[in-house]
Amino acid sequence: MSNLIKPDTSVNIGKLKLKNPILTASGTFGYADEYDDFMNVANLGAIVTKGITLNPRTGNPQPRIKELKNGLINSIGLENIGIYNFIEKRLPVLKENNINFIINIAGESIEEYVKLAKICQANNIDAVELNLSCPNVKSGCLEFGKDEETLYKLVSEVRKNFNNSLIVKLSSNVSFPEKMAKTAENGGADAISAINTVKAMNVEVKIATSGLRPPRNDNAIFKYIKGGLSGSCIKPIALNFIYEIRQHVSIPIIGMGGISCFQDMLEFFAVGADAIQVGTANFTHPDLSETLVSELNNFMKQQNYESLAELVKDLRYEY
Amino acid sequence: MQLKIQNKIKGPHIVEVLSNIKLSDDTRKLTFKNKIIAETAKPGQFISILCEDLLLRRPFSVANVKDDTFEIIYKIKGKGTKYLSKLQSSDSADIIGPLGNGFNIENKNSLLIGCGVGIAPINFLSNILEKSGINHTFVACSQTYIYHCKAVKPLYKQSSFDFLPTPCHCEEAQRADVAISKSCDCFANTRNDNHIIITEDGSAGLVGRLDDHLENIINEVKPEKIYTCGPNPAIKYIVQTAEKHKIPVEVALERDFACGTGVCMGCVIQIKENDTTVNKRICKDGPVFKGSEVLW
Repeated sequence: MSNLIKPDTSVNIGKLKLKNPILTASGTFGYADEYDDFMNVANLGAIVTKGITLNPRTGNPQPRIKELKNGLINSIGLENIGIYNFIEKRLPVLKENNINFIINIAGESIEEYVKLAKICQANNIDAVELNLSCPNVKSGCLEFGKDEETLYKLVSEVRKNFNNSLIVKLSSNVSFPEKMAKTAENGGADAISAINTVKAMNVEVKIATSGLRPPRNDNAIFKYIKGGLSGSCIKPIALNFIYEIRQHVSIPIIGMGGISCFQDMLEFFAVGADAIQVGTANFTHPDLSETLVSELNNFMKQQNYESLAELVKDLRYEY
Repeated sequence: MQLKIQNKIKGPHIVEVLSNIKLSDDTRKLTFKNKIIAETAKPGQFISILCEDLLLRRPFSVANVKDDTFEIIYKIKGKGTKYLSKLQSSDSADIIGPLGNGFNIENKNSLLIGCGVGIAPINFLSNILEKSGINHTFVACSQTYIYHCKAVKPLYKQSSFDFLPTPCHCEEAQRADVAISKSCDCFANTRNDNHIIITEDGSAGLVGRLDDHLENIINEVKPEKIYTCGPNPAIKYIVQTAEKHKIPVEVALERDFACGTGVCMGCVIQIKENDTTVNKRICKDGPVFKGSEVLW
């Protein structure tokens, strides 16, 4: 193949055709215009918006983030502007600038998800990602992603009300990943994205100079944060999760969890992902996702791949 | 809204380290070379540095710009600042910025108060006000004396303040082991406006803490506006004192950031806005806020 021909990096997620498999994960890319200073966002396969709820949410009190050696715990609590503000203020910016986007929606009840889906349908949104597993919200939307029966009901109800690409984002905080994935597929999902952040806690114990005895409340200063863990420390969990579900579903899988370089992306393709999302690494390297797009193009040219499907096929681990 | 689609205007920039000098035992000043940042940074804005072995970048206020160079002031405290302390001239660093919004400069008699490394953006602001010919007084408050950028010699003329001799900590002066080196650049660059140094240990300027002197300073200077940066308790005290005197305050706040660019919502603070309380991102909506709007 001549080096002059641009390799075909496109990938289909249901009806949605993405020009390349590199997306940015919900909650790490705002509503895209924040990254305008660092790249041409329209070069990405798609951006996934910050999780959007029916009504605006103010989120959790501080502390909201805790940096660990290879990861980050966040407890934002789905602070967002709400679907109506999004449609009015943010949607026009995305459309005007030809940015492919997927709206991540989160509800507190099946009815709320359905309402959100209807609003997305009415506004001709190309793709929706169902956030079923935000571990930071007390209402427990995690439950939707944990129990097969509820998951099936939720996905199929949303499916009835939304005709475009429907992506179901799964949590790794479940006993049988393959069952959840299969349930989402049976419910009518066009694709699975995984994994969401992993439930985690960080504790800081500082012992008073006088020691712990006699026991007093202020002997040990106890500071903690509970939330969702992301970053490279969850990559092994994500790879395993995708590997486990790949053989049970035939719909595309969008893999994420600790991707911070080209090699990481290939690993996700190898275990079964068809596209990937860059998450926490966006915070540190705001231009990373665009860099991955050009690295993928260069790699495919160098290795004489005409299409992404060919590359993925060669990388794919055979069961 | 049409986006700019100008690739990488805020970086990541790979910038050259020009110098890393000691301002006090644990405080340093780093000077970097980068034309874009030097030309676009405003006082109150910050840059964010990629630090070895750390997941997240570390934010620092721009402390000054000159030609195609810019400076930051930092206190060696954790892993990030330890990494910075090892940088030497001709090393490079990965920096994004300038980020956030700067101070809203007004042509009013101003009082500038920097506490600890909060001196950094205040120093930059003072230089800009100086260039614009805006009357102002710069108060630098710290535990021990931080020789900051240009300002060395206390020029506060009011006899009610009794100054201690002020040592210069620039490298040249340190070599010469003199209190105020008439030969060093710092002396030549001494400002013409009022500059007050307060140190808790009495190593320079007025002895004591800000709260020992602020009322006096306000009464003497009679500022129409106050700009400040520093630890939250100090800023809160300044805002409360200013409110008593009915002087508007702009504060530059800090908090741990994950992204520094406004996407993670990790750094939000509650702000009063039209009788309601709203969340604002310190990194993107700030770091400069009206003192009266901040819910501490």
